[in-house]
Amino acid sequence: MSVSDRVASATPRDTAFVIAKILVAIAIPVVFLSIPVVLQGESLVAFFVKIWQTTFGTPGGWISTFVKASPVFIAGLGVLLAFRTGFWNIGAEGQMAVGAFTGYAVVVNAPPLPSVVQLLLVFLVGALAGGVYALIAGWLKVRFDVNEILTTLMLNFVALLLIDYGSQSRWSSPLGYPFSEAIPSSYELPTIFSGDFHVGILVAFALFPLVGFLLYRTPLGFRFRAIGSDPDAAENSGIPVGRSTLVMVLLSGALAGLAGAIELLGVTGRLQSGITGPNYGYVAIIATLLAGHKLRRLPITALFLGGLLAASVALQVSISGGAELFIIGLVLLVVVAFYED
Amino acid sequence: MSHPLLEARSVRKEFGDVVANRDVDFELERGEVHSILGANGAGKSTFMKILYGIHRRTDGKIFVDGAPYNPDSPADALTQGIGLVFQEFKLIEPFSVLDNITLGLDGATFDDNSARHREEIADLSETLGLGLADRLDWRVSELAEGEKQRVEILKILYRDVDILLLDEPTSILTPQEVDEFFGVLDRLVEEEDLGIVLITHKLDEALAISDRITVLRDGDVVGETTPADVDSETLAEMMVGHDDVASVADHRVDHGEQDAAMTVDGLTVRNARGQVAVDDVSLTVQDGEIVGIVGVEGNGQTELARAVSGLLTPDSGRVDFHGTDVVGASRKGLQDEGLLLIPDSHGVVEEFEIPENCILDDYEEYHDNFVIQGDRMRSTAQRVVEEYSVKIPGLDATASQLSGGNKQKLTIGRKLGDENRRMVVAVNPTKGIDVDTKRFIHDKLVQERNEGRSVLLVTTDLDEALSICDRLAVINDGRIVSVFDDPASVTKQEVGLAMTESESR
Repeated sequence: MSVSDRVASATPRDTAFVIAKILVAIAIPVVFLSIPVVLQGESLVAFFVKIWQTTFGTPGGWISTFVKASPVFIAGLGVLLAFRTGFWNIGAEGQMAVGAFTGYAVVVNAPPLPSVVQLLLVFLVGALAGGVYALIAGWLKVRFDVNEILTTLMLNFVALLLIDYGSQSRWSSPLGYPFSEAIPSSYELPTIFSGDFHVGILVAFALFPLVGFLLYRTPLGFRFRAIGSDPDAAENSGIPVGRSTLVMVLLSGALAGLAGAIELLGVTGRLQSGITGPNYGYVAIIATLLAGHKLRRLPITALFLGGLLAASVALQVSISGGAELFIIGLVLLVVVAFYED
Repeated sequence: MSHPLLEARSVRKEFGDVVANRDVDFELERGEVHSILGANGAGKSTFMKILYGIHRRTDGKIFVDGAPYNPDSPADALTQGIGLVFQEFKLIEPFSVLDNITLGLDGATFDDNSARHREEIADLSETLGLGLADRLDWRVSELAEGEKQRVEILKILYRDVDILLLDEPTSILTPQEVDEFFGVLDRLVEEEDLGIVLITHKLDEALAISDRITVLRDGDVVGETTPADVDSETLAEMMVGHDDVASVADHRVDHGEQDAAMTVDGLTVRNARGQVAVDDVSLTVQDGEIVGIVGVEGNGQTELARAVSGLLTPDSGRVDFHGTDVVGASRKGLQDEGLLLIPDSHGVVEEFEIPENCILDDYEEYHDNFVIQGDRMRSTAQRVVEEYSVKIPGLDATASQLSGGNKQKLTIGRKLGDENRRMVVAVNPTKGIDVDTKRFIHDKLVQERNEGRSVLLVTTDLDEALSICDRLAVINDGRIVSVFDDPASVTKQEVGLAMTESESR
């Protein structure tokens, strides 16, 4: 049967098929996950109950899921913006790190200011720095047609070294640990519900409609989508492709940079080599891919991945550290294999 | 009782709600060329793809030599003796001619068969006069377009087919290559006793080569005829469906002495690979005239059009638009000055819905405090769709759901809605488009001229250039080699010669 026939003949019967595929996509990682648990002679039921409790099964699980999903989502918004404009920004990881680094520089150097102003200043500088950092790759692409996948990826390693410099040399703790001194409490993000749910998570909620509005309701978003769908058609109709790409890259990097600044003030409280957590910048790319570049699906995929990251403690006990990344990789593989869109 | 080689009865094909073939009857005998003539979207290609096993028919019966024929893939069609040469070649450019032909045959490359294949293919090429026998080791990328097509034909015929399906085979050929190609077809039917189905939207072609012609319109057979029984006027009427088939060669409105809209002086442009594509070209376009740039594809006309419309920066030379030097101006800047571009491809964004496509050029005028005005956008789209009778499934359909002709109508409709326009640069505006839409677009361009604006028509379609241009320049190898001030008085052969003569400098 040809592709066009397949598209033309989509019927309710196919819906059942699609649901079946989703079930398989969930079942495969579950089976793989069960093997080491069973081999270690542990109870599968207890294992999955534990996972459920540390993620979506309890209020505490939900909070920890939100804490993990938030940076994935914010950086993911930037990645999605880039992907929709046909720019393969693999650099959210580095842009996040730069956001945290410059955010910490503000914390150290800023004069005493009202608390709200302090926080906004860190956010602003972190976002701006992430954006400018991404612009290096953006400019190389627009000016010299350098492949942005390579440049954004390589700049990630540069940025992570920047974090090492900041945390282990420039602002190293006098105790000799591989992290900086903690930020003053006036810079710590206020929390709600419990000690972990910081207000930075609310930023994620606010950004969702904003980015949606930008992409679908403004002339700028119109340009981004036109360039992403068909750069030649965009150019033919007079859309400034290079300039628009630079603006988009600035925004994309800024979102990742903001995620880094929020992580600094809301979660780690200091500059350290694990500032991007379990590689939030890369998980953000996976969230975008799982969402099929669709903005409306990003909250779901970010929550799903946030849940997996929150379950990592349970996984670590039963299987091993990093097991969550194994699962994420597996889910991605299954999704990519099953869904071509 | 003898059966026809191929017989289709009441073939029907639906894609969702769209009926592409309604009730198609078709017959092919050995030793004949039977053309299927129709406008774009008439259902020709669908029918062809059914015969070749790409689509499966919704209803109807097909017989080959009297036996039921139900191919479930192109490979299946080939084993049953039916082969198709696509409009766009499916050859692997870096592979040799021989490898391309034997590709997919069992053990073709790696065992003793290869010598046998080589010999047989060379023989076949000799017998059919395809002139490929001494080129079997050439890479396909080294061949001219006409030769590539013969490779495709040889590839199909080497698989021992009885029926050859050809989809718009002449669209990329030069006039000389078309003649050679028709010679090959003649030999195939007369000496090899093949049955050939030729899909085309070119009337003269169908009349020149066919034994029979079946005309399709809107998925239905309008009639079957032979070249002896019909003239081109009647055929055009059958295809298009109304009797308004007068030529567009409109009488020119005399505006008297006109101002120069665009003056190009000593323009030299390099292509993406750094080669000189436009070589010291000078030319003037006045208000109230259509100037044609005609040439064989790949002779610099695309680069010329892109350079004068702000998409390419020339190496040297001047382009004055209404008295201002516009070298280095952007596409947007020139558009604001009233210079429109109708590109030959990428006129619309496929994934965009129709209203979004209608504001592609002037989306910046469609916002209120940076919020796109959806209602205004939709009403513009509604107007374009109505004024240009664009056939759409609905206003929220994406451009990818439209046929080529309707995409082009949408592009041209939205462009010519610009009140500030002063000049139109159109690049192959009717390429691959049905007769009806073609005439419609020609009318629009002529109307632009008659209203005192200028048109630069860059085209590879000689008939088009001769029928609507007031002046005609021939571009060959990046240079303007001849200018005809009165296209009405020149012959096609004269212009064709200028287009194809090498070493013209």
